[in-house]
Amino acid sequence: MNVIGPWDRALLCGVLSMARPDVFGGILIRAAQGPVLSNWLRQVESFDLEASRMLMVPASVGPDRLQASLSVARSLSEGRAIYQTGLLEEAAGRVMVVNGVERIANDVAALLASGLDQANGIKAGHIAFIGVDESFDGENSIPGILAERLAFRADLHGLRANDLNGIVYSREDPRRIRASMSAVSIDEAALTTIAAACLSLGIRSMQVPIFCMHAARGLAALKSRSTVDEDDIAVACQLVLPGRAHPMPETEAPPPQHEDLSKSDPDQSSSEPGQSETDGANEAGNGLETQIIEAVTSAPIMLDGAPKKGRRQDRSGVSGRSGENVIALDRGRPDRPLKSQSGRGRIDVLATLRAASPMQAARQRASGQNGLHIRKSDLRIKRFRRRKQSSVIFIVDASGSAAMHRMAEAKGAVERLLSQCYSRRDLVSLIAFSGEEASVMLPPSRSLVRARRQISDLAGGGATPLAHALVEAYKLARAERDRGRTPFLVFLTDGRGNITLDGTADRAASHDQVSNLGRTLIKGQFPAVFFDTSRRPDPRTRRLSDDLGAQYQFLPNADGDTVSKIVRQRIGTR
Amino acid sequence: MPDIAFPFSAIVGQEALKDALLVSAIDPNLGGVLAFGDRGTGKTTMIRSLAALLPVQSVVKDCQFRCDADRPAKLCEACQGLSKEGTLKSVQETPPVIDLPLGATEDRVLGAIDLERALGRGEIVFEAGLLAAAHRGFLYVDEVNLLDDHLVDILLDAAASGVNRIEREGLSLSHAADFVLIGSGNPEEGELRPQLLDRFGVFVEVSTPRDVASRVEIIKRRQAFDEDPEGFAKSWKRKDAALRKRIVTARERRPEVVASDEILERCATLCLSLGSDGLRGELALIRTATGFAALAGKEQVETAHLRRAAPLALSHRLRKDPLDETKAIARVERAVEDVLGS
Ligand SMILES: [Zn+2]
Repeated sequence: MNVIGPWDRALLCGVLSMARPDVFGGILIRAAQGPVLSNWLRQVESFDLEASRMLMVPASVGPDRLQASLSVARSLSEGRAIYQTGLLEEAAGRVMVVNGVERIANDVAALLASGLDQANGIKAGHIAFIGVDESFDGENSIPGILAERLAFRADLHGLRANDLNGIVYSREDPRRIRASMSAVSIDEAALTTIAAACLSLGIRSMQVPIFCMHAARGLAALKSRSTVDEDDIAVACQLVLPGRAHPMPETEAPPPQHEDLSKSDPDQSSSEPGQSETDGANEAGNGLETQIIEAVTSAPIMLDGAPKKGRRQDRSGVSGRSGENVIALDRGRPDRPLKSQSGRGRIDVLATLRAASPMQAARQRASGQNGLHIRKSDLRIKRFRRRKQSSVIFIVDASGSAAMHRMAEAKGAVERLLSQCYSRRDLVSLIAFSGEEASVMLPPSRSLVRARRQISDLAGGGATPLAHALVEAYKLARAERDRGRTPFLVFLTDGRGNITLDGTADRAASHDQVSNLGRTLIKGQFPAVFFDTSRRPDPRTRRLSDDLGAQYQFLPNADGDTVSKIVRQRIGTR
Repeated sequence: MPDIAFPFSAIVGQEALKDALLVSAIDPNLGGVLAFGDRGTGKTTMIRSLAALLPVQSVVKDCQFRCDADRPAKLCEACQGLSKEGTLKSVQETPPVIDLPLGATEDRVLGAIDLERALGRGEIVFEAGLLAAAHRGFLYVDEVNLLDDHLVDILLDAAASGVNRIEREGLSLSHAADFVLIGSGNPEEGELRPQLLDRFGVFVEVSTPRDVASRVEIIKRRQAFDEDPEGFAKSWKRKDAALRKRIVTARERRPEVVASDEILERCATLCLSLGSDGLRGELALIRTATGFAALAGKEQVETAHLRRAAPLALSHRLRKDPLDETKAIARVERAVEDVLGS
């Protein structure tokens, strides 16, 4: 099978996108700024059949800049409302590039998605969208609403300027595809291979196999063929599927859908294939399907679809119960504008103009002067809503004999908190530690579904790396604080760490290290509660809790209900 | 994506969502549809297909409130003026499907002062928003679970009352906003507050088919459609026409459909056994069942209609038990079996 290199892959994505932006939407490409990316963008620009300049948009673009909006400066100087065209309007018939697409806010992603739908749903003025994911680890996810509309995935990481050789394409290639793609046919066997490969990769969206189908036909057209061959399918899947694989949870076994498709045949049923034909196709496609899955899963992975980090929820625009918001004048999400009392804060020009507009005719008459009349009473200032959002971090001891029980109770507590916290919009995460490491099992999340899926109550057993756990907890708490949330740590352990950060099995040394770390990293920095799950209260564990500056609770059976109640009380009273 | 809509009858599977949309088309005041689940299930396609299937509407030309030219009593002020002058012109349009993207401002949704005219000529004129544009059609909100709560409140208020009231910035007016609200979302990206959940009339859990044969069929039909939309639409025309006729008849029949005391009692028992809070569940259940009865051409609501309506009307109204991992829909189905028999 034809496995293609990353540079070829990226170029083909460009060729196909330029040929049919209406069908493919565009490309999500992982790349750092630099000569490789510039080279690729230049080439893609040279494929553009409309031969127009690319429209470069920064990730920080605001929703108001995307759509036509009032141009404040010009309106003020000319005394009448003057509108500025939105970027989506300017992008019609062009290539739109968003650098740092992994950083865009959810509402911007939604507006872009809706703009693409509108532009690509009509006969002309299509937009080809290129999202450049600049993250190195691919850990940030692109909002699904935008990602699902972009057919192609490419990755330029690790490529250097002198690696960029291979097939050279020109504007003639997309032109040929556009002219002949609609005449390319694809048979049942090919579609079955595509559908089966997507299913095996856990890709649920139906849009994805449809992208593969069109891409395979585009590739056939590129080679001036009128039917799709195996190579086209293999290459198409390598352009569309990487980064989309998504393990299906085992608990959700596919319900067999015995749907009688024949009963919903069109009126003039022409070429409805028989069941046996489908089976045959399945067999023939099997080898290819396996090869596709191998090629796709070995390609560098870029995540999209389900959010990987709590970041997305943070920007989601979901506000908590209004009584718990602090209205701030400096940062946060914009709230409704406020009538200015003191003139402090940033002026909301649009709201100010709105307030002033009904009075204009009267004021112009009164003053005998044309132009815009703005009084102090018209001034509106921007208010921002700052959320006192808590981020509860569970640090759970998954070592020792009671580990399994402890994990199960912790999971129960997490689920209770999540199911009772809708209105607060708080986040919950979980770090488990055992053996020689502590790891984040559930990144900060608001989703009950994810918590259920990601927290396994399997315990690791083995040594008790409590020091490692403190370091992980500190790192996560810092990151959460940087995101503007208030971290709250919840420890569930008997406090008997027995392995130091350098991996030495030494209970006494570990104990000293833990109390040192606690005093320097946690105490006074992050509020915490310490549930001591030992069988008998132990003064040493109590002292450890004090070193962490935590509220101490003796809770030998680690009961999840009590844990969630106490945590809720604590975060509720802050 | 061509201008022609994908034929509704050619959509493979998705029976629950089809049911929810059909019953909302028959009874637009049901309170909206909430569709949660996978991306890429073709929800938008399905809504557009349904709108295209519905009978065309007579709309006053250039009226920003989409006044119904055939109902003189309900005309807006401007249209009343035209009507008196005898210059009212109407056009035939398919019901609108309006997208409300996350990030749309309140001004854009509700409507606001037309700044250009206010500043230029000192006239206070209202510029209609998305709610007016969706009048007599569908308003689709993707990622409704990520929308600001106060906007969701506004949408649900308007959807329930059929009116958009505006009191701000020197404006005081209201206009008809009778639309079917359709919200969608992915539960992995955050859940909806129970208070908001409850206000949606019906709930559907959407997922894509998990068997290769159905998937291949979906891709084939999409390909056939993309190749030749006119031809494809034509081959499904008869089926779509039959369905349109059923919807039109059902709309006329629905107000006449009656629910016996026995049926009402069963509704109450069902809701009680599920502990679903409040009266809304019961009302939604009976309305949905009435819609199904009308669609089936019956004069009375039957147990079979209740059975079909219960998962749609009740599964989002159950009290949440964090330790019960059973899917809400399965819980409703179990209760239906207990109360209505299997
Ligand atoms: Zn009117």
